[in-house]
Amino acid sequence: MGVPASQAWTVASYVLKQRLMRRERYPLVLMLEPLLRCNLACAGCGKIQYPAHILKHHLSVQQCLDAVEECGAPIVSIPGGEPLLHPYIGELVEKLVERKKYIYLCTNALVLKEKLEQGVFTPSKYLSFSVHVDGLRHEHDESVCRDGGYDLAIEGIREAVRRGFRVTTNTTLFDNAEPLRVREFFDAMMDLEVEGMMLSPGYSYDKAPDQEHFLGRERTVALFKEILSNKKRRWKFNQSPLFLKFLMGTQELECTPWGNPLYNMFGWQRPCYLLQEGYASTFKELMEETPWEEFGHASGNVNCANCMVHSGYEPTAVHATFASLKGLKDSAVATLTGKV
Amino acid sequence: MPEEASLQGWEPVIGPDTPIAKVVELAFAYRGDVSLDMVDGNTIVGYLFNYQTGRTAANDRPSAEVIRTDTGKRLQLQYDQIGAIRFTGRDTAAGQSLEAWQRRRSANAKATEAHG
Repeated sequence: MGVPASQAWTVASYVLKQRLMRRERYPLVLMLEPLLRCNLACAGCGKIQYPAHILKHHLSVQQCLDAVEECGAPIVSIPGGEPLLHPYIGELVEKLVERKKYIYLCTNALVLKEKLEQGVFTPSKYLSFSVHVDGLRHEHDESVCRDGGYDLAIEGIREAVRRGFRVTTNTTLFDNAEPLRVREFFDAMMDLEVEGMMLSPGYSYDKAPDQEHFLGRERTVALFKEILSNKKRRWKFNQSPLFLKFLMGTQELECTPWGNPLYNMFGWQRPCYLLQEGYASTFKELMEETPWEEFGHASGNVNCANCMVHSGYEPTAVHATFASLKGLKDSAVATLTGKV
Repeated sequence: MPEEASLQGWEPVIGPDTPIAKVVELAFAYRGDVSLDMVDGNTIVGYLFNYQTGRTAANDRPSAEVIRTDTGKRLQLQYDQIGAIRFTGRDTAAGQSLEAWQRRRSANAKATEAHG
């Protein structure tokens, strides 16, 4: 799979440490939203619909570092909004690298080439650009509601790869995805020499403009089975093999919403990256005072019924990898054979 | 959210059928600014981004948290200080459907064609 050994080792040792300390709930990836404004308005996104005075605001570098410290997760994912619009994004990344945090800097890459040319970032094993690409040109431009969005993203990817940066792609699939086109898309991304790809079914944000194309569970499983059956060896995924098996319906997993906690200008979002039911003022308060039993597929919560999104299930998959010899064996086999 | 479901412009009267707790919940889900008429006669305009039901150890009185539109200052307002909440700001989640974008794109393409 497309995760470097040093990162895999950091995650493995962190998870084993949590298990040895008998921690039932622990964060794996901090989702740090330093701002909410974006230079796109994607049809499936419910993250950026706020009044102008909210969109103008951004977290300071120190506020971000305090949240990273408070959370303690080994991986920091920086979504948004579009984080490359943050005026101090270079400084934030530099400070996180100093702290040896593995960073996924999520971007639509519209201004990535420009930022790279300005020298805002330096290549590091800790930094990966996670470029949002939702398919080949037609599908991506439709998804992000912008003609030319695909070409700019590809240009950004090429430039980042050329300069020696780690680059992954992040793809959200909706019910209009055509499996053969998605498989062609995987080939196209691997041709660009990205390190790996991340996949997720879209979550039905109630604020997203497009409410018609979100996937139900059965449809998700059928779609991912069709896409990932006879997976090509050259396709590399920057994800746990158990999560991919979960998407294909061959692995049972339950949501661990505390695994990818979200911090933004409002505070620590309850209960997860997707649902927005209020904010805790501290990470401790989030972990200790959120009624976790009310969330996840098994809880019967209607908002969780169709969710199979990576932010809820990827940490479960990582936990499951180290929870039993079977989990470890299944992951190792998938990694070595390239099959899921 | 479909345009027809937007609460923009709604000025509910707080009472037994529309308790303050319910209006705060709706204001929290609303993606526009609201005007809060306080019982002391002041009006606060801002984005209501959080609320506490008063069930937690840290907060035993129900309250709402607001970021003021004019100053960006955060305020915590207890429910019994709030007389009314009006949905006065633009609902930023309304009227931006995929279909609207497709219509705009189609119109742009036609305009480009027309101008050669």
